[in-house]
Amino acid sequence: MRSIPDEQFRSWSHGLLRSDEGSYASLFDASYDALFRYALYITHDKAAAADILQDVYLKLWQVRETIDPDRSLRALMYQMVRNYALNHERQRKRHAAEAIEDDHPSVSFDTVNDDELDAAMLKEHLERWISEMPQRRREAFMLSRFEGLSHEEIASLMDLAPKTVNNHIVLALQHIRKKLDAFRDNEFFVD
Amino acid sequence: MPLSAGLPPLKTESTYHLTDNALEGLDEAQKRSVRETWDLCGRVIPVATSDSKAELRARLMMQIQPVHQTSPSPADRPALRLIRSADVFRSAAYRAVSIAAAVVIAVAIIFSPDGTHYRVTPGSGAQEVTLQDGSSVLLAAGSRLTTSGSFGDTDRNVILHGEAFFNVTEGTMPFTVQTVDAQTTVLGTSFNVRSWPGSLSDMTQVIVETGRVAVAVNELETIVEPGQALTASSDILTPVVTNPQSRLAWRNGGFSYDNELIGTIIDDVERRFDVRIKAPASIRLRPVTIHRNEVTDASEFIGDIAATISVRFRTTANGFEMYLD
Repeated sequence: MRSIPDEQFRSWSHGLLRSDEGSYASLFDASYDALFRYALYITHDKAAAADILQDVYLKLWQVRETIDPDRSLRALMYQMVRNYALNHERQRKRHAAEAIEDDHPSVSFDTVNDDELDAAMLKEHLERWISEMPQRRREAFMLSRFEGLSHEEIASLMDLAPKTVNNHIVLALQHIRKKLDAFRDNEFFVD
Repeated sequence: MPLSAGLPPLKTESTYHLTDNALEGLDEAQKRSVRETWDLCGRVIPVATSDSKAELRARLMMQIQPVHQTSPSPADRPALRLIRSADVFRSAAYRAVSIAAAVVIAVAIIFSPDGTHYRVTPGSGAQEVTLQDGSSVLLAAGSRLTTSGSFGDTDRNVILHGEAFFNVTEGTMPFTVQTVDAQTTVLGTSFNVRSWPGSLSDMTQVIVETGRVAVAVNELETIVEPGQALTASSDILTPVVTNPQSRLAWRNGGFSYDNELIGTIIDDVERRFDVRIKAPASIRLRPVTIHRNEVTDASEFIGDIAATISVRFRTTANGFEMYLD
């Protein structure tokens, strides 16, 4: 979505105001993947992310006549995904509190065999380290690193000061680096 | 060994920059370490995609097509075949109106590899269609129904936008009606599904006449017995207590509402008679109870509603306006 010019979003906004199905379809095609990833950053659940996107796109059509083309449609869509995803998380936590939760102990990787230590392996670990971070830190970091949103955009989306966004991102990188160094030391130890 | 040895190269779309500003306050070694990590993460960009994207797109596009469409335009879909109403459906209980409307296309049927689309023109009255498995469906004006591409072969799935009464033939494959927020599954029975996305009361409503029906929303599922009705919204299934059978009055050209918002009734009247009705929110949000068996004239029915709640109405170029003094 980062690579799509604002002008294009404005034209989609005008299309939605006219109830133009073609604009809606082309906006769907261009925005779905990025928004799906965003829902996934928050929920960690593909099925939930798919449901959230269904709600978001349906809602978008329902409110199409209220869209203001002078405001960023891109920001609106991220905001809608965020609201639905956080709502989903709240409900999930409520349900989880009621049920007796199965505890999945985190897999220890200090028995890593260095033959397996290839790019795919490191990628997998990186994904795990990212997923271990607190939700808001992960969200800020992934929007910045993988979706290319500016600190200002993330700040306004998450209702944080830009400085806080920056702290989240730097702390996230330091967290990953610490894990990485420990992982590598361990690799040499096995050697 | 460099940090990123053995990893795929940076993906161009992911080469966002970590500005110096962002690293203010760190010493040089820390800055380098953070930058290297930033770079490393750019090589493992998550490529998660959803398996349901295409399916959701198809469902959304069907659901958003305009409700007020005077007649389908063959010119827009040159590769598809339109069949005139007289060729394909048996007129149901709404015979008188169907005959009056026989000069226009009342049901457009479009065949394509990914399913058969049925669309009932607003203003044309309820229309009955028979599906490949012999099940019959009475579709309210303005409704759309799409069968799956594999309907009758490996499944019996349909997507509904609007309102329909299903009479499903017994079969080993379950018959499933997908609406925007719910999924209704049966083996063989008769039941009514109503779902008008974007209307004031846009939750899916299911009424069972015979047999048992399973309604599912997300992970929730419940069984509806004959004579029962149910309203489904995104995370709750609510039984409807008041006389569900009266809500089937539309099948015979009637209107029947218990404590229903006038806005919802107006939407139904607009579709049934292909008229536009203007009314302020103060009127639309008022609930009313009204039952009429056979309504053949929109102005009479609108007049009745206006009288019930003591507001005024007048005719306009393409319909009516309800207003307060």
